[in-house]
Amino acid sequence: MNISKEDVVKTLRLARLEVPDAELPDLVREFDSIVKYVEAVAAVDLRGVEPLSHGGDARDVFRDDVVTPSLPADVAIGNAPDTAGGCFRVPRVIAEPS
Amino acid sequence: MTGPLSLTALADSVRSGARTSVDIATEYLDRIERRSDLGAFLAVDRARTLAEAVAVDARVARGESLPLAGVPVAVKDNIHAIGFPTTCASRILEGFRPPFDATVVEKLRAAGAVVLGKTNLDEFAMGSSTENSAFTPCRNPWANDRIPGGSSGGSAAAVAANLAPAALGSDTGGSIRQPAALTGTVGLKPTYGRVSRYGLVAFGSSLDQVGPMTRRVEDAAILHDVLSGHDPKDATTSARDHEPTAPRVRDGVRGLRIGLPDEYFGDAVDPEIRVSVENAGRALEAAGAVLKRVSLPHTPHAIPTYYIVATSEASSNLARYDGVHYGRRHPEAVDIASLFTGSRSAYLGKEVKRRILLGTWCLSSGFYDAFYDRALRIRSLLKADFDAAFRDVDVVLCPTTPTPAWRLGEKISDPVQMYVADILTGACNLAGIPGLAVPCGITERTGTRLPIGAQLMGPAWSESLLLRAGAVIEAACWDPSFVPSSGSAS
Amino acid sequence: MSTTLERWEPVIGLEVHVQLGTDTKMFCGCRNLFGAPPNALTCPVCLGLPGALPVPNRKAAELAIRFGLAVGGTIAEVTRFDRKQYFYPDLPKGYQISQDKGPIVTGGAVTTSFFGDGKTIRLIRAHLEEDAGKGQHEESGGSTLVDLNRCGIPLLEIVSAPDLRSAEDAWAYLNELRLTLRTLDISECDMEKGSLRCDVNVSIRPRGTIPFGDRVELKNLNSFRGVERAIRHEIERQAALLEAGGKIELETRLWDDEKGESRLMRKKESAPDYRYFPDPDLPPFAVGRAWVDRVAAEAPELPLKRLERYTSVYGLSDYDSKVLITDPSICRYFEETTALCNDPKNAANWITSELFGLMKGGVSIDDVKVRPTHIAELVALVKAGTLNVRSAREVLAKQYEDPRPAKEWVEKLGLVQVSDRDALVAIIRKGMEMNPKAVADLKAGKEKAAGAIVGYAMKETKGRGNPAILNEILAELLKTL
Repeated sequence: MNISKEDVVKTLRLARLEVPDAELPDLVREFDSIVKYVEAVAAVDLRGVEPLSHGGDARDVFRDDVVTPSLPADVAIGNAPDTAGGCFRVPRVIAEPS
Repeated sequence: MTGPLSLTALADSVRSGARTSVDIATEYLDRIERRSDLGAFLAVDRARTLAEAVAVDARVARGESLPLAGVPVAVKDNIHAIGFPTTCASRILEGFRPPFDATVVEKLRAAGAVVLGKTNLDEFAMGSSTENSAFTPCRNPWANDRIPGGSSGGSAAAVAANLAPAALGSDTGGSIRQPAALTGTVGLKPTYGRVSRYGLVAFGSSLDQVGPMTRRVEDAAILHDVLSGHDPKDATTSARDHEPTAPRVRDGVRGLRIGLPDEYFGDAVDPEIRVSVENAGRALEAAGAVLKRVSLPHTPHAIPTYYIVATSEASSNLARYDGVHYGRRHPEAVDIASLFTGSRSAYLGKEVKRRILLGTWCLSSGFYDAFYDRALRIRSLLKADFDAAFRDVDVVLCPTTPTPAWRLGEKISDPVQMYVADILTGACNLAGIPGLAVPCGITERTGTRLPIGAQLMGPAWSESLLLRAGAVIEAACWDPSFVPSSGSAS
Repeated sequence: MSTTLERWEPVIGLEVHVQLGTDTKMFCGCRNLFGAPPNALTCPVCLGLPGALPVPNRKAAELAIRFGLAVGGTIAEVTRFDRKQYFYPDLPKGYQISQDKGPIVTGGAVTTSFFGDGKTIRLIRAHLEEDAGKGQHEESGGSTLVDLNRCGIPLLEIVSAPDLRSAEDAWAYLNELRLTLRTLDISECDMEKGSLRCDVNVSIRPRGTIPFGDRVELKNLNSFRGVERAIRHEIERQAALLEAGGKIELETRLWDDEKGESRLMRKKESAPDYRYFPDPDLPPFAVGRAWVDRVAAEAPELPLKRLERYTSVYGLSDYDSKVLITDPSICRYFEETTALCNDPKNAANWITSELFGLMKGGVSIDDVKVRPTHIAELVALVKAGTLNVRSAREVLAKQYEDPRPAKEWVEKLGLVQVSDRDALVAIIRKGMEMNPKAVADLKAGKEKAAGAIVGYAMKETKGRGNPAILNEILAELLKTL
């Protein structure tokens, strides 16, 4: 599979990343070589093989519905770059989640 | 100079009252200061560490029984320890102070250990050389111009240079074992689910494990026993009890069946490393083990598979660094879109962005089946390879790395070349099995002596066997008291 | 039927999110509570701090299973959590833990027995997920303030099949669903507090045709009536567009209930790529037969089962039963009263006619000072003959303001029923003397004439005469004439 500039730009946007235009050609080239490298997985015969998504042997893990202490509210926002009135502050949000 | 003490000797000296925890911490803190040229630590806080040591001395005086009384432990800077910042060697987390201890740090502190500082790593543990640290590269104590491996390069360098008697590392695709091998130290990647990940900043959640990095195999066993066990805060930890490994570490290998996987001794592996590991095999044989060739046929697919799984999970795990709730925010953000994209683009490093890009691609609409889902199926095959091999043998022995430590800057420009450094370690994480790196010899490169690490892998929950075999290799092939000086003051 | 509906048939499906009534959040032990100070109910897990890990709440899974059983759905034998990824300031991890493939409940149906015409609406699925935080525009200045107290509260997303054919259907379905969820203590379903939220998919097709038209998703619906209005408006909008030769495009629109119109939020081509994948932090889980059986055994009675019991065992009318059942808090009140006085018919009567008469202006029965103990006591006092109905009514009215025990009010108001036979005989005699015509009528068999005499006696006793005894005395005296 050949990676195009559009592929890279679209994927960067999905990940909320951008690179300066000057660096884009290099990134496209690099990413093309990485994708070609990992694309080797396409050659393996996987008939009847189930995906293995989780590590370890833990299964059916739940906790009881019991209250544990929350952080003090000032600690909860203590690492935030900007706060107001006990809340995290960000520039006004107009768009809906996407 | 007498060689560095073992963890047992250190703790004994504190428990017997021969030395105080404060004395020991001071000694190590002084050495850390003298060897700041290594770039092993990202955060050291003398006052904080000494305060912890004072508290340990008080507990010892009260008669508390502490297995790690006064033992200073360096902690990789992607593991939370209250009182220290956690940066993951990333600008985006600069200044972040965790409001909670990682479960492993809680366990260390409960056992009487003292946190010595936070060690350098590749940003978010993504790399094999610690050159991807956003703050400073880390150097190999054996050769100042060479990398210590990664991503737990700071922990490895600290232990190798005797700046810490032990350290915590994390291993997603070899990040404990590879730097251990390149610095002549011992590194254990436990079975997935043996050690809690709570408080370890996630990279590849289904692969990550915290493990010990030490000078001696026995020390690794002692630390592993402290760290292990079910944690109600980590749903992926196993419910099974942990049987202590340290008491059996000298039990030897008589009758143990040891497999040499053909695929791990191929042409990509440096001939001297092959020979050195084969020597380690002979040492095991001499101690009563039986050597046997085995095959792990899907090994060539391990690295592409590893990179797809690890980066897919990472692309999700690192979505939280968006400049809203913690970490750094781009100062020119005018709206929410520029806040997200600006902060992430400015403060995440190049390799991290590259991997997020790959992971995002592998999970995105239209590519999920061809990349992520296929990789998960190959992961099943890799695990099945090991399952089959472990029907014939008890553990496998192979090299940890294809080459010894390379020079700084040598591979940094070629990501694929760098990824290949994980070729012998990635499958272990995909299969969730334990792996141990043990130094087994020395090679010389242009007049520089560099260590070689053997790797032992076994079925899930076989850490005890690996440590026993590791102890035999260590006894036959290595002097754990040797501290490399790399031409600098020591 | 509007002329639009003569030509076009609407096809409607609903996606309903309800907050589950657990004590703690979905993946951490923070309280699941509305109205706390900002960020006071947060911890490393729900703040999405690096290094924190989720551990699922068993109760939340059980409430989802309870729902699945109630609607006759299939409970997944093995299921898992997936990550749904998008960037938003109220979503601190950059992903929401949800279920994509293999939801905990598939299928099932809701029948509109209480609020509609008994239509059956099939469900596609119901799955567990975590709620996001809340952003609020700053009063002054151009900022948004984010509070993560809501972040991590367990949600059940219930997706209906496109089986609804009108705004009224949708209204009935929502009410029916809410009744089930509230009766089973799964969710409070309070739209004002955001514990029930709903998105609607609407398409229209020419009547008599089969293929579905392209659908439009409506968001920002804040009340059941708002849902109805939005659907009606959307049907008209789509019909007008199609009739003018236009095309419906797959899109998401935001409803503005005040203006009574919707506006475009996003087109299909900008639909987000959520990149779902199994959450590696959360092992898959099996829902075994034993677990399902236990959840079934612990579940409260379903509304229809309850209706059957009220009508056949309690002997209540269908109408009265439904009045009680459709409001679970009234129902709970009634059940408590009945348990105390063991007289469901009178309990129902006192609640639905007397107590309701006093409750004005949308007062909730949970806020009324008169408690089931009060009602039960009144029922018992009337039954024992200590109070007559009129006096009991008076006591209830007083208790409504000041809920002291009935006996205190009875004493204070001097309402103890006069059952002193001699005194009552004298009064009845007097009454007979004063109403000779009534006596004559009674003797002629006109029983209604007794009212004048007994009425006189009640007036003389200030309403405290025991009517049963008064009637008895009158009958005896008539015999002696």
